[in-house]
Amino acid sequence: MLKEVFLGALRNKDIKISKIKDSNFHKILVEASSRWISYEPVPEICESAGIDSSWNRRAFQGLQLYVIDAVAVTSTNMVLAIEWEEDIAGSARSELLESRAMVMEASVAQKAAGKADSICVDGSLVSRLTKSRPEAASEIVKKCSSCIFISKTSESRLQFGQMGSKAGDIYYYGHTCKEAGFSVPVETQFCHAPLFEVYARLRDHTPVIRIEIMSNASEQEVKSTLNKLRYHSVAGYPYCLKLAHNTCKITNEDIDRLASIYGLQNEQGARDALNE
Amino acid sequence: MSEELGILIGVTKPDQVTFESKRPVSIGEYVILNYGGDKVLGLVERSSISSDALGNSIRNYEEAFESKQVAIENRRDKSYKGHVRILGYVAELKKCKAILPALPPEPGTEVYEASVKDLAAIFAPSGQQWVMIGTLLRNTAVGARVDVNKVVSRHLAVLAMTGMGKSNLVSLLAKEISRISGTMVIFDYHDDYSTLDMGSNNINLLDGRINPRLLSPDKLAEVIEIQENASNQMHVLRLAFTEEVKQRKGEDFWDALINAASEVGADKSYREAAAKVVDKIDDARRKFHTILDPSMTDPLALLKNYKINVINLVELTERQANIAVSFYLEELLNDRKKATRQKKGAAKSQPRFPAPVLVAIEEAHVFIPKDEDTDTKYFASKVAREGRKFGLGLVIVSQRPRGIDANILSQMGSLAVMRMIQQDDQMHVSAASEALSRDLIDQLTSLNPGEAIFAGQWVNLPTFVKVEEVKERKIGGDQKAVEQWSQLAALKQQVAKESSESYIPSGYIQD
Repeated sequence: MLKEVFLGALRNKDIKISKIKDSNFHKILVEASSRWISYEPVPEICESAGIDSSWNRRAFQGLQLYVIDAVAVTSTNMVLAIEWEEDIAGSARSELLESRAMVMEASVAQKAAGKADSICVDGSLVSRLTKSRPEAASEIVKKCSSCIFISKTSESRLQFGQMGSKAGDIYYYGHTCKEAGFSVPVETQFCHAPLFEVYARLRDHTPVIRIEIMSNASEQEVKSTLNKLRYHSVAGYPYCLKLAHNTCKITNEDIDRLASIYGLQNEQGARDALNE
Repeated sequence: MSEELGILIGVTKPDQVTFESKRPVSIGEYVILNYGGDKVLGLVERSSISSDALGNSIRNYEEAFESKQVAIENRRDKSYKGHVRILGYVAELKKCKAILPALPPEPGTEVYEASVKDLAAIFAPSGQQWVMIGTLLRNTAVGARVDVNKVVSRHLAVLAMTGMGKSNLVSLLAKEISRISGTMVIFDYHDDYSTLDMGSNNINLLDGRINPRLLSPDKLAEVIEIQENASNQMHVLRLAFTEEVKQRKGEDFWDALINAASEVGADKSYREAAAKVVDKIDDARRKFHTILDPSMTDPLALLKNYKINVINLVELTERQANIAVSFYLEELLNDRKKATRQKKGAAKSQPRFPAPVLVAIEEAHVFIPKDEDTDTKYFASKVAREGRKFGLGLVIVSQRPRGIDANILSQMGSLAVMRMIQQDDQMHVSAASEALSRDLIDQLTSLNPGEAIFAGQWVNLPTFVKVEEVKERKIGGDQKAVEQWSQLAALKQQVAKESSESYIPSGYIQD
């Protein structure tokens, strides 16, 4: 990278940070604090399953080798369902691959339904529907009706956008306190079904997560959900999602091995000219 | 075939492989790999267990605690890895030949536990020269034997920290040599072997004594503690220690030596030096009368064939012990040379030791030091180089290998290495011996008392051994001070009571 980038960051860091922590910052924190319900989840023994997908591709001259996979795995590392797809195509745009991965997630969620007490999907439902093709959206909603969607990071500004927030809502909930608890459930603007968003911290001093629940979410129902999530969670994050991520992750080495199986290792790659 | 233990993973080499195991594997465990149509033996040199949940990314105790809970229920959480050094084809090892495969095994090759039958054939071969010394550390059903022929012909170094079982191993070796009617000489600097009970007919206990008449003037000067830089005193002693004086025996010798030194003092320039030499002789005569014995016969004549000869050096100072050890080494080497020549019909007189002799030197770092030239070092070096031809074996024992002369240490064809923590010691042993790999050296800190790595020519393969404890050896451990003080205090109280009771008139105390 250009060294000028670092020099610029050193010179302008205060101005740039002040854009986030502007005059609204404390006002929003107060508001977030008023919506925060302190609650220490009580671990409830249950079998939770995590769902995640991954995709990767390798570009050759005029060809794309791609792989998509999705998995449902329990917190005891039992794989409940898998789906995958790998192919060589003239084109494999990232939006298409992502959309396909989401459909696969929905499919494994449907297969896993009934096999675990609680099914967690990595990422936001709203976010994935905005990225997926319209015909896929209703299919995803139908198949994932019993799932909860969990995000570690979120750009949603549903709750504090109108107050002029510069960061995602999760940022303000993360800074309002460090104790376990959750935010008052808020219904999202989602046309397919009632969908509530809740920000929660499963244990003191752990990061806040964003949870989407596809049904009417009363305070009691949220507490019950958090109790289940708390069991088998590590550092405030459901362990089944970590396992799902590790199980389905497609690395560059994996793609290279696949290219070798296809006999593509001698094809000119997109980055060969750069020696990368 | 034994139970399957795991599967080879990663990059394999002809001499080194890694496998994923079903269970934790112990260092020193032997495994079998089947490839190329032959069975190949391997030794687990490193072992590790890792957890997916409890990885290095854990940032605090809370996270570790939660991860522990999920790890317990996750059957796939643990990874047991064993790093194996390939030792050779089993069939060849049974014939005492270590032949490595030219090709590495393929990843995916199954790894099996080595069977007792295979291990016994390799580590406990039959034959009179193979003596039992203990069991394999990780498989106590298999005996561990060593080749005594190789110990005598190619020498042995026993190296370990204090209290790890060096003297026990030497005692065990002595016991086994005694069993096969061998001849061994142990220089016992700490009185560790005087109670070694092998039956009265098999052990010959001697006090380390020096016949001053048999020494050179320089060595006699050392024995009577004349300083090395006192050149005038040395000159007086050289002039006084005449052939005529050497002929005198017993007290006569000392009187003659004092007279001769006084005569040298007639020369004005040596008067003062002569007076000092006379004082030193007189001092030594009184102080070391149990050690310096001008009436004793040839010390070598006191050593007995086909017995374990223990020479007790506990009363000797370091310098005196050094002279005594060097004297015996020189004489033994000369005698063994004579015996060899006699076999060829060249020697006229009879040697005292017609069969090979094994000599053990305790505290080798004192007698064979790295940075100093001593008489013992000179002769030990000669024995290390020439002993093989003449049937004189050397066992050096030390808790401070870094203090031993590297040249002599490197000529020890066999090694018994026990727990050793100091890195300097490990490096010195590693540099001096090709038989121990770096991985094996790294394991030395994890050994317990009585456990050892045997390497070199006296074993077919580097071996982790649990050395048998010699029950016949009554002392050698640490003194139990508190126990002894308590016993003494109880005795004292009893004595005090008895002695005061005698002063009380009878009937004074009424029941």
